[in-house]
Amino acid sequence: MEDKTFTHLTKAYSPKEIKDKEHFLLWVRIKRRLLYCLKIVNYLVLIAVGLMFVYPFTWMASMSLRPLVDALSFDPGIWVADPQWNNYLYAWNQARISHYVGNSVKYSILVMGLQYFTLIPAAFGFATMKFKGKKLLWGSKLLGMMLPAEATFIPVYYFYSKMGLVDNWFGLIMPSLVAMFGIFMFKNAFEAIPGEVLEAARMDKAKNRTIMLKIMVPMIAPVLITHLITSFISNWNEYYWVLVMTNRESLRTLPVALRGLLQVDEGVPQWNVAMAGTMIQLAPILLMYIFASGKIKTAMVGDRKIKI
Amino acid sequence: MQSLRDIGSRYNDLQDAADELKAALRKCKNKQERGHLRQKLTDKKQELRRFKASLAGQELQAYKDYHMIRREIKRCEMLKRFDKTGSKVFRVINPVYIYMFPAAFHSVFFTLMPFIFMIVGAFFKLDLVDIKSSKFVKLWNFYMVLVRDDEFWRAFGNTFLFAVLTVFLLMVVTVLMSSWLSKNTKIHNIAQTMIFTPHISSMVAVGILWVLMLDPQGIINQILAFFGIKGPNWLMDSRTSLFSVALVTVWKSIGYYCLIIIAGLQSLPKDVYEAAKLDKAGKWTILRKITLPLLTPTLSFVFIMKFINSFKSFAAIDVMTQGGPQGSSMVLGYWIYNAGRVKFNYGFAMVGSIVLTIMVAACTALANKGFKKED
Repeated sequence: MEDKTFTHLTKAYSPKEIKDKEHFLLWVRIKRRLLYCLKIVNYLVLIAVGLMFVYPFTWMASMSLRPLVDALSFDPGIWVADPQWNNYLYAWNQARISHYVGNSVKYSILVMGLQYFTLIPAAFGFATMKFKGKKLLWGSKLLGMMLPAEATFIPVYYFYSKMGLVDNWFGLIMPSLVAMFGIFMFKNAFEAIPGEVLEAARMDKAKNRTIMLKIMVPMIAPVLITHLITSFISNWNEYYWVLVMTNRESLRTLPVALRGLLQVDEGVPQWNVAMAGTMIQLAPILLMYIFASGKIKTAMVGDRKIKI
Repeated sequence: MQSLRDIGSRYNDLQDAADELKAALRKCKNKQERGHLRQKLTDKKQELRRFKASLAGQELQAYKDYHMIRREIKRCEMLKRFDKTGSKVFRVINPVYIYMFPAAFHSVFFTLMPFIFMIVGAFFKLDLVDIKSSKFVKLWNFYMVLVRDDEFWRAFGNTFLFAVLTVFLLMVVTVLMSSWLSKNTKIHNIAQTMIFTPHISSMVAVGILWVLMLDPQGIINQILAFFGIKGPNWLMDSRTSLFSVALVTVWKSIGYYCLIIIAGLQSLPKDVYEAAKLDKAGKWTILRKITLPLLTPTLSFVFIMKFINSFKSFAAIDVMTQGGPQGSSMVLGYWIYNAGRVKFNYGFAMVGSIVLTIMVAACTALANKGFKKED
């Protein structure tokens, strides 16, 4: 007898059912495969989109190593047959990039070293202490944030020129020392510390400076690091203020000097040298970013917690 | 033991004598007497040194210990004195005024005084070299700028256009992109890191880079030519210059805003999404009906801040177009710089500054009002 006739008596699947099941399983397998392929495609597209943001920098590095004739062809390739390291030497010596690098380093170190002497006490005062005129001062600080530097630079320039602060290191770093951004950041950090800590310290008759330096500042160490990173990046890239407040070359920093590399009297600027200069400007930050991308990302994105 | 104690007392005696002599020397004014005292002091010091040289072993150790103790006592005394004067000072004035001094100075010097100077200066034909020779011209500056100067109005319009363009492009691109990028796999992280790169590099470097990329023979036009499109002369064409600069600004800040939105996305409550999944909502519906409404507070705050900040964009314009062909990419910030620092028309620049300040203040006030209502 054939099996066929008896299948309905047993609990086994009929051939048709088995076929259907197999069909279904095949379909599931294909679907899974397809999804897997899609996932890979998705990843590839992700990387491609990411490359859209990194490729220009790589291309810039390759541009900076080409001879001038090749550079002017704007070839989109990245590989350079014979890298001209002389471009960097030329930029460093003839275009006086070394001088500007020195200025940039000096500017950022001065600001980064001195700003905490003014920022932390101010933030501490705003966060924990009561005094006459607090609201007024805070209001004027907010006004200062609203008032764009583009609008006030002429009066400030006038005051500076009367006080002999134009082309002066102190004048150059002064506004960055009490930047509103830092005060906000540290004020928020100080306010996040539970009030009991402060109360206990006051109960033990700790002086304000002791509370600030020995208790509060160690507690906000992560915020300090975050601020250090962001302030380094913003000071290294500072452009407007340095451009407006300096007349002589001796104090100009790297971004302003790069701007000068593009301005030529006739013909085309030396693109390869300009690119070499730009690479030198970008190098410290990009290197930092390569080695500590996660830290820098969280440091920069943390900015948004600031509210008006 | 007794000998060690003797060493201590002898050391202390000698030091006390030396200190007394020092105090006397400080008080004394007579020249001859001073010389005499100084001679005595050196003698005493010599004696002390000889005394130290005569010691050895355990005795020398004792001598050193006594020396340390004495120094410690002196330090404590000084601290006490310092504290006393400190508390005396701080009883009169609150220490917070010392903490606040730099901040207060900053806000007076960089905010209030320029603000007043700006408003007053707008009514003068200013001469900054010799301020007394500047003339009061009533509303002439305002008349010249607001009525006679076409370029100013162009810059004014461009400022708004630039802000709207940047914010609109950013909003569309970042919302779509961040909902796509918001996952915690390794590849997603790498992509996020790569997208963030331009934000930390300086605007000047990015500007120079894009001047090259947007060259008539540059990469962008080569890509367009590959698809058979003849690209415009991006930065030198008065129709596209502002748009190109906006595009570059957007390219630079996509990463930053993407990461902000992703951080917002990942802090949204998970159960809402589970409920939506149970109801078999599609991905598009979830994005439209759940994610966007939940994210709106973050989004609106971030983009209004960006809107206000793009009134102040200067570096991008300065590097890439310098106001562009026929003022087509002139924005207010650059116009003020041009009028004040290049053409030395300080009065005009003041009027421009007032307009810019009013723009920023109005937008900030509106935004604040809106946020207060929501809270």
